[in-house]
Amino acid sequence: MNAAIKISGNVLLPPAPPFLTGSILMVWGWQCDFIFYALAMAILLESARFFHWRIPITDREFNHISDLSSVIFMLAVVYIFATRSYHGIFTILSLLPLLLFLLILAQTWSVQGYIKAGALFISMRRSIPDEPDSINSGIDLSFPYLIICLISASAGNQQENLFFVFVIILITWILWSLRPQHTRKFVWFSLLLISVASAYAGQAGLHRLQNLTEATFLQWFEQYMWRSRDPNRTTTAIGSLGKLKLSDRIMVRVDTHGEKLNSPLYLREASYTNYGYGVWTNFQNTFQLIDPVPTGRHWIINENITGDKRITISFHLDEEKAIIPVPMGLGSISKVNAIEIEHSPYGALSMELNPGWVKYDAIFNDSQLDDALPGKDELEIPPVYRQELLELAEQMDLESQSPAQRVETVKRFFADNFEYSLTQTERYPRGKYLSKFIFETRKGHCEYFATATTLLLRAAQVPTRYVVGYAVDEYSPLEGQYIGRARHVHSWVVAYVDNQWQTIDTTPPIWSPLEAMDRSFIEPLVDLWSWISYKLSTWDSDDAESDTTSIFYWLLVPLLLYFLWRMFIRDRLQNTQKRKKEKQILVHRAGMDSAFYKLLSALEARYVPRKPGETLTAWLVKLEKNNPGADLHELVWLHYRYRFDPEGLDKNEKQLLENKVKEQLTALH
Amino acid sequence: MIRKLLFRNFLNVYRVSQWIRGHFTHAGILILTGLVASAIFGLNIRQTLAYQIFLLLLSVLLLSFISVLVFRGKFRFKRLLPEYGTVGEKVEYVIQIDNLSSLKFHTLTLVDELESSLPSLAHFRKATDIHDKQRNFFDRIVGYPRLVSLIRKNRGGLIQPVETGMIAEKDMVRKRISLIPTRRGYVRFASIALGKCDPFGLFRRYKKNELKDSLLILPKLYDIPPINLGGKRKYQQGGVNLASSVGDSEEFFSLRDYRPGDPIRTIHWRSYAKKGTPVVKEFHDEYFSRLGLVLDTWTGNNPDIIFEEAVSIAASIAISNTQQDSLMDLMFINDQVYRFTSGRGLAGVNNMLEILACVESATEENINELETVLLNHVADTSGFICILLHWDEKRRNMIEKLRYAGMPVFVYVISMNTGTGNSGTFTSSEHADYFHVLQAGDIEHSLQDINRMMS
Repeated sequence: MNAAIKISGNVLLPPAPPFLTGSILMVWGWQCDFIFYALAMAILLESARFFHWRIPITDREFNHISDLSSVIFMLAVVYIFATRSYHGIFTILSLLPLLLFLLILAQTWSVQGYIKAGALFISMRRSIPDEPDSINSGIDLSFPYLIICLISASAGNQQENLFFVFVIILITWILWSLRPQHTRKFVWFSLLLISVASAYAGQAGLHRLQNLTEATFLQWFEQYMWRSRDPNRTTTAIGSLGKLKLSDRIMVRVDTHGEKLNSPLYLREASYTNYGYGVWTNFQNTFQLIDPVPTGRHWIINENITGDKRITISFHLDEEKAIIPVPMGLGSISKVNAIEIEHSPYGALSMELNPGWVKYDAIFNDSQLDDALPGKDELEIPPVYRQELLELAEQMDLESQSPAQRVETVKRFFADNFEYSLTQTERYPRGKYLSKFIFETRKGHCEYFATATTLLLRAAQVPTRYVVGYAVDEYSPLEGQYIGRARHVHSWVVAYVDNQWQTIDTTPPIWSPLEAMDRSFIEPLVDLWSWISYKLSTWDSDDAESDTTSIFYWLLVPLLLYFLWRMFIRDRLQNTQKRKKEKQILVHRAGMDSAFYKLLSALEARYVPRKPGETLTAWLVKLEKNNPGADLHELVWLHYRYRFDPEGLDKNEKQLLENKVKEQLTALH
Repeated sequence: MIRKLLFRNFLNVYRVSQWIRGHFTHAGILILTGLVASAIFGLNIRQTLAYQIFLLLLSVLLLSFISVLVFRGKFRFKRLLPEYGTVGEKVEYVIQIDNLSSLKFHTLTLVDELESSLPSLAHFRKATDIHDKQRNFFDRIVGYPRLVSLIRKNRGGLIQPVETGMIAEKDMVRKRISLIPTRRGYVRFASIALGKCDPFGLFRRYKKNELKDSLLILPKLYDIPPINLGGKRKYQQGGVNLASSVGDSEEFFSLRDYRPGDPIRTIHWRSYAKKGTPVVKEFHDEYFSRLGLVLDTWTGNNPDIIFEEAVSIAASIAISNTQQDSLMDLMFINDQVYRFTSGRGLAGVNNMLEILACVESATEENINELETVLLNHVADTSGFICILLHWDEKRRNMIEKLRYAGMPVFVYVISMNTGTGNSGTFTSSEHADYFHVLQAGDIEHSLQDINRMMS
């Protein structure tokens, strides 16, 4: 423990220096728009320095005050989470100095000026005799409270650079009052200066790191989770910094049966009605089960649609039940072995099927949208943007125009004044991204355009919905059909004009080629692989029209042969070779080439055969009894040494062994 | 399975928290907490500006870490330990620090470290903590505070770090350290570390010197009410040579004729002169009171605390035996029969306390052997003070037999609760004069009750 911290005997931290608490509270108040509360709180805490009057508060009373603070905190958490869901966490953070104020106020005006650790942690309330003093000692809450206030102030998110200056000043102040007495000022300041410089440099690094993480995460997200579209909610990349990078992966294939597409084909996944902080939601989605027609494999989605455009869509289902992309103005779905098909009046179609590539025919008429009629939500503008958008609508004189004209004006507004861009370089406070897009930067990707159009038309009293899906216009000569990649994921708008829903896309048409510029140079190879795997996985599906399938069977033959060879023949070959080698090693190692074996068989033939398990010496003893003349012990000794002695026999001894064996053999014959 | 996983994590948490507590000052812990909090809230740098706080605190902590990377200086340490300590009572000793380098040091932190090994799961499961019932429900269920308490107990003592003050170049300083022993037996010192704090006063780096020592910690002592057994002085075969040094007793009894082998020293010269034949002085054989202090060592399924309390009671009785002319035998069985005698110039009380400091509980039931030993010693013992860990049929029989043999017996039964024993209730209110139940963990109160009852 350093000297500065020892001031109040058994208290873990020193009290805060004069006016530090007040200053931090003021910064918090300024950041979080609680300036008057902050002022009052600062006065209440700092004025204690000018009065000697104090209240005697017992440990028990401190426990009660602490409990009360906890209850207030818990109530605030429950209330804020109930009203704002998890977004409320930052509200709670910004309220922390207020929620914990009672405790610090009690400590400041109490006689002892600190509280027991037990007041904060119930587990420490009952003091246990043999526990070290540090647990039962007091703690001055001033410094912890200061840190809480500082972190809490960061939730305000007002002025990035100015706040950093305040952070430096306040943390320097905190560190200065906590420094050990013996530290030399020069060293202390030098170290602090280096810390500040590295923290400043670190900011840029952290920004880059976040972008990198987000990009990686987005890619990962897109790769594994993209296709499970949530019809109730979609998170846009509005507000993301850096370049939006989308992959080239083929997500959907559209066979137009020879027909050429003149404009992008919009395949809708879901429509949303409410917007807030980069998230579109639609909680009114109610899915209705569609029964197939009795002839089977045909589902009539909407009887009112009269059209005969037919396309075949292939889409990869990751889960058993998922939202599938369908053309706008969908009439019916056919040629698919779906277990269940559900349809939302908002245009989303959910299909239950075995996961994998699913192929279905869609009959549609994209000029005839029969979505649910608009309600209150379709005119709803988030309060943050309401005023600005109403003013803009007024400036554009939308009110005096007919609904159809309004749509045209808005389309022209975006076409004339806005640019397509996948990169966002500037940082804005939360909730201002869209304003910046509409009024200042005028650069963005499809989500900016679609969101801004949706909200601007609502400001002009035209009911609108935000739609996400694919805009397919890339023809693959390899596959002979249109393909939609991950980067073709698009968002657009449907507006209710003259009692009729119509599709509006204000994103400049340049978006598709612009995004294609980023494609990887190995894209053709990836596409080829994608096609092969697609073909392989759909070979068993009902695809009578395709004659390419049989080729794939033949492609499989060599593969199968290779595996067969690998599984049976190669392994067996290798095993035999291995065994052969092992055998050789075994013979060589064991020294089984001893000359004694020749004699052994001769002896066995002549006298008694050796029993299994009988040792050589035991057998020899028996042998000598019957045949006293033969002295074989030296021979056996040599043989044993040759067999088992790690050093073996030298040349002469080996020769001796062989000679002796010869002698014995001749003696036998 | 979950317990095992929890236990492993607890050990890791303990290690980390020990490391943090050792290496960070209180200010450092404050800054570290701020760092973690700002990291959590600053994770999304678009949501809050907490990342700015995080970066500044991180660079401050990193610099404070780097600034003490090099801790030059050479020290030599010496511990000046007392002979004994007692459980729960502060022991003060001195560490002498020699600064061998020609560098001057401002405040350093001196940490004396005891040898400690983290407990195994089985050990943790078996161990019970008498303070556990004082903890709240959550702590009891989770068991982390129990683990910490067990680790502390195993280590044997608590030593708070101290500040050295300034140490000049080539200087020698002595620092007084206080140790609070948490268990009896030997406390083993492992090393001494000197910690240097960084200029911000947040982080410490240690220079560790291995220096092994040990200190015997005697059992905790209680104020035991005087025990008056009222036994007779007994003939001690072998006389005082058993009790004091080698030789005969000093108490003259009679004269008799010399027999070959009698020491010349005993010849009564005047009678020899009168009689013409050698006459020797004969001495009285010894009679004195001899108390048997009997310690039951088999805990069975009872927690260790019961045995610990029994040892403490035994030590307290041994130390309160003020009858200078009596002997006291400490008797217990653990693998073999132990009988140590103290008093009347034999081993002192300290030796008995040393033995008690190191006695361990038996792994097998041994009450039958104990009974045999006691009955064998009925002849030369004036009375028995028995400290029992159970009150079952066997023990009851043993006490009855001793009493039947006319032996004054005083019985203390240590139990987790005074109401019931391990086999039925303690039904000895009629024997209140010699039978007492002491509650483990609350011995003082039980003894006070006995005192009140006796007065």
